[in-house]
This record gives sequence, structure tokens and C-alpha cells, in this order.
Amino acid sequence: MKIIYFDLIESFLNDQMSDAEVRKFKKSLVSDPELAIEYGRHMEIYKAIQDTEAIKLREQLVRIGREYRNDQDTKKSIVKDRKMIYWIAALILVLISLTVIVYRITNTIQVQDYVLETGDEDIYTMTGECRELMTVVARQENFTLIQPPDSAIYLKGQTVPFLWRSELGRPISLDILNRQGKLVVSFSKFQDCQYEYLAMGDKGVYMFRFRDGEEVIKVGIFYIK
Amino acid sequence: MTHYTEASIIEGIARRQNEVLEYVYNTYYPMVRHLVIYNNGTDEDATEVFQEAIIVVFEKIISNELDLNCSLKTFLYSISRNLWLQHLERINRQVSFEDIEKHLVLDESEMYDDFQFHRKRIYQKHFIALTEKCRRILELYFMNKSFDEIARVMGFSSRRYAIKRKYECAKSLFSRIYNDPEFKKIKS
Repeated sequence: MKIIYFDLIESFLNDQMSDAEVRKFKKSLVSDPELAIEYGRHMEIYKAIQDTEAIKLREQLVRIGREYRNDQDTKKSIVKDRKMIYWIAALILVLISLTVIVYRITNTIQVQDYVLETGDEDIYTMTGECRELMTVVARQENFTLIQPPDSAIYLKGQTVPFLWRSELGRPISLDILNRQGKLVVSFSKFQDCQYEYLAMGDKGVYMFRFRDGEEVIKVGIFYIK
Repeated sequence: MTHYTEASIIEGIARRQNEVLEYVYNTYYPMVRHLVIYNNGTDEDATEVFQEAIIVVFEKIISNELDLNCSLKTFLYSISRNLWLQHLERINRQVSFEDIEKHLVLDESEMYDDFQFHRKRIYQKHFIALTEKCRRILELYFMNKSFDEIARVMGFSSRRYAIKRKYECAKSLFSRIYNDPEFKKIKS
């Protein structure tokens, strides 16, 4: 755009020329092709921007286009957020699965240790009874019954001596049951490591058991005749 | 979303009804976007091409030149395709054009290689980009208002100042247009 032409054309269009200048300008339009082209372009631009309907439509379309893009961005963002949630959920699932796997492996190793300590590899099954048996074995390791010997025979009126060593670190209980299974003696929370039972009951087989709370540590029998 | 028949869409475009234009955008823009994106274009190119296609339809309706011998969808696609081809030709890019919908019967007569159309688009684009005040001054000028009246409406102190402002606004517009790379290509 030549400023000199632009200024000249604008002066002409804005009625800022004298009659003589207007005449000269009109003459130049014929004699100066470059000015004629610039004038033609000037008028073309002015004509184009007078098409207010098309301009309004353009503005509307620009706005709608912007809204459309914003909508798409929002949708993309929602999809992105959703994907993120799925990833987090998947990660949590993986973590839970790993935790379970690690727990189970660790647990198996512990059980295997018990089995190996007992020296009985045949119990290497994971049933509930086996596990219970292994825990009993584990508890028994911390408890040694010195007296009475297994299946010992005592006379009525005699005392049955109980002597034991416990490394459980807590008081234990002793129950004595007659052959009907009826509890004849029950002592709980033994601090000492000995007890003497006066055999005044009926003759027959008696069973005794040492307990750590509800868990049985040791069982045995003796006879009174 | 409300569904519009082709007749109501054409009427809506002619009346510049916002809801119809939104419907047209939502319904047909993805097709044009696909066309442009798959043929070396960007999202912005697609938006511009689609908007130009709507303007073409609008101008055809207004000038009673719209003679649809295919669906509006095909017609819009055809115009968009041709506009995009011309754009690629203008930037001298050799491309093998891939049509997304081979079944579309493209009307080659809808070629807008008429530079006047593209120049008009550039002029109007830059006019829209002017400040609100500049646009208003030029609009008043084109409404054949005297500079005294323009000064009064715009709250200017004098006729002289209104002339000065009109000159500055026109200069700003022309400067934008003449510096537009696309305009430089068309012009040459």
C-alpha cells in the first residue's frame, strides 16, 4: 500500500479536496494506472466491508466455532479425567493384588518354617487342622511339662505333683477332668510353675490340660486307684 | 439436539438463526475437519474452510443462486473441498487429495477460484478484527452519515476529529489487509 495514494484517495473520499484538487485527482486516475489500481482496490475493500449481513454471519460463525472448540476441549478433558480415574483404579487393583500375593507368599514361608521345625514334612498341607496343629506345636515349644509323667498311676489320697516350665511370658491355666469329662479342678492364671492335686476323687482315669487362654498347650492323663 | 430439515436449514442460514447455525456446525463441521486434517491441514484451517463454505452457501441463498442438485451435506463438502484445494494450490503444496467420503458426488462447478471471493474474505476478516469504535465509525460512514453526524453519534468534539478518526481506522484496516501473507499472494 502506497501511503501517498492512500492519503490522496482518503482525502478525495472524505471531501477534503478543493474543486481543483478533485479535478486533478480525477485526471490522475486516468493517467496514472498505479493510482487507478489502488483506487479500485480501495473501493473493493470498502464495498466488501459494507456487506454487513455477511460480516455479521462471519462474527456469528467465529463465536459458534469458538464455543464448539471449547465444548470439544471440555469433552476431551472429561475423557482425559475419566482415563486418569481408570488408570488410578487399575493401579490400586494392581497394588492390592501385589499385596495379597506378597502376603500369601510370606504366610506360606512361615507355615513352611513350622513344618520344617516339626521335622514332619508330611504335614505340608495347608488345611486348617494342619495349621492349628502347627500352632500347637509352636506353643508347646515354649512349654515343658516335667511332672506328672504321662499315664502315671497314683493312689487315692496321694498328691499328684504338677511341675512345668513355661516361656510363654504369661500366666497359664490348668484343668483336671474326670472320665466323664466333668471339670473337677480348674486353676487359672498360674504365676508359679508347680501345683499339687490331692487325689480325693473317684478312682479312674483323669485328664489334665494346660491352657493359654482358650488355646490348649498340653494334655495328658493320670490314673487314681 | 433439534433436527432440522434441509429447507429449514437453508432458511435458517439465510436468516442467520443462531440455533440453526449451531446445528449446522455440530452436524457438518466434523466431516469438513476430517477432510482438512487428513489433507495436511490444521484445526484452524478446518474452521476457516468450514466458515467460508457457510458464507458461500449464505451468499448463494441471498442472491437466489442456490440450486441444490444434491444434499446440503454433499454441497457443503464439495465447497469445502474446493476451498481447501485452492488454499493448497495457493501455498504451492502438492498433495494427493484423499476424500473421506468417496460416495459423495462432488460438483466441480462449485470451484471458487474467483480471487474476488478470497479477497472479500480477507477484507471482512480484518474488518472484524478492528476495534469496536473503528468499526462503528466506518459503519456510520458507509451509512452515508456526514462527518458532523458521525462526530455527534460517537461523541467526538469536532467534525475534523471525526475525519481524522475515520482516516486512522481506514489506515489500520488497509495496513492489516496489505500485510496479510495470503493477500500478498492473491494480489501478486
